[in-house]
Amino acid sequence: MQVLGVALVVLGVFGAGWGVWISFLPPESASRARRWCGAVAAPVAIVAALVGVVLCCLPNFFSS
Amino acid sequence: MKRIAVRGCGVLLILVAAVWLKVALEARAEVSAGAAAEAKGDREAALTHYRRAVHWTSPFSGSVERALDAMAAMARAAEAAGDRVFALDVWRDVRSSLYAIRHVLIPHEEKLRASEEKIAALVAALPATVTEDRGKPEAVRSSEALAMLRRDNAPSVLWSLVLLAGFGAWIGGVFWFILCAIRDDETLDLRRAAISGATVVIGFAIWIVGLRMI
Repeated sequence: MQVLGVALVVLGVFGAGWGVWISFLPPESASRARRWCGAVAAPVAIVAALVGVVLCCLPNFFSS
Repeated sequence: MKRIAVRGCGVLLILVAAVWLKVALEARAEVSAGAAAEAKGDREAALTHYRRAVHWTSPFSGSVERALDAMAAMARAAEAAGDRVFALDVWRDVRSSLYAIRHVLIPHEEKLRASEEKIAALVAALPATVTEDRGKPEAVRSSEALAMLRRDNAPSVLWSLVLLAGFGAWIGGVFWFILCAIRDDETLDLRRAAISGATVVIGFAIWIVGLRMI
């Protein structure tokens, strides 16, 4: 769970950065589909990073 | 800008004063209700009101002190009358109420320590409830109970502050990014985006370290 948590945090932080970066690129630098992909990936990555923090810092949060 | 800041501070001051007044008045009302219940002989109700008065703690409020003194007097009276069980209940309420209002510091710490000594002595004086305690001298049981009560399970103040600083930094960084790094034509100001993004990442890392170490 700890390893999964760390992985989610790292993926989440990089994913959020990538998503925000891509979604704000001008139309001539990235296709509409890529920008949409970035805009969807950013919030998903933020949620993943927060779930990772819960897994790392709150043991047994998802189990009784 | 200066005018807005002054107005903002004024509004904040009024809000804080209103909350403080509400808390102080509630504490006072609970102390009065506790005294009235005590005068009627309803000890349980009195204890409930005094406990609530302590929970309504606020700076410069004398009601908390009065409620704690009244609870201590109730406990001593119960002990003098031979009602050790009720005295123990009251001292436990004193202790739990003081832990409930703990922040960076423990208000009325001397009363907390005194309540722990009383609880330990009373627990030791009552018949043992577990096999291991049977046959142990009262002094030993008392000191063991006191050690257990004084075991420090509080979160670290330093790491709590680190955690809050990290949380503030990454949330602040997100707002900074949204408000300053995105231009009106929906493109990024790269310099501001990099600085606010770094603030978010560093703040996030500090927040996680704080959560792990607290």
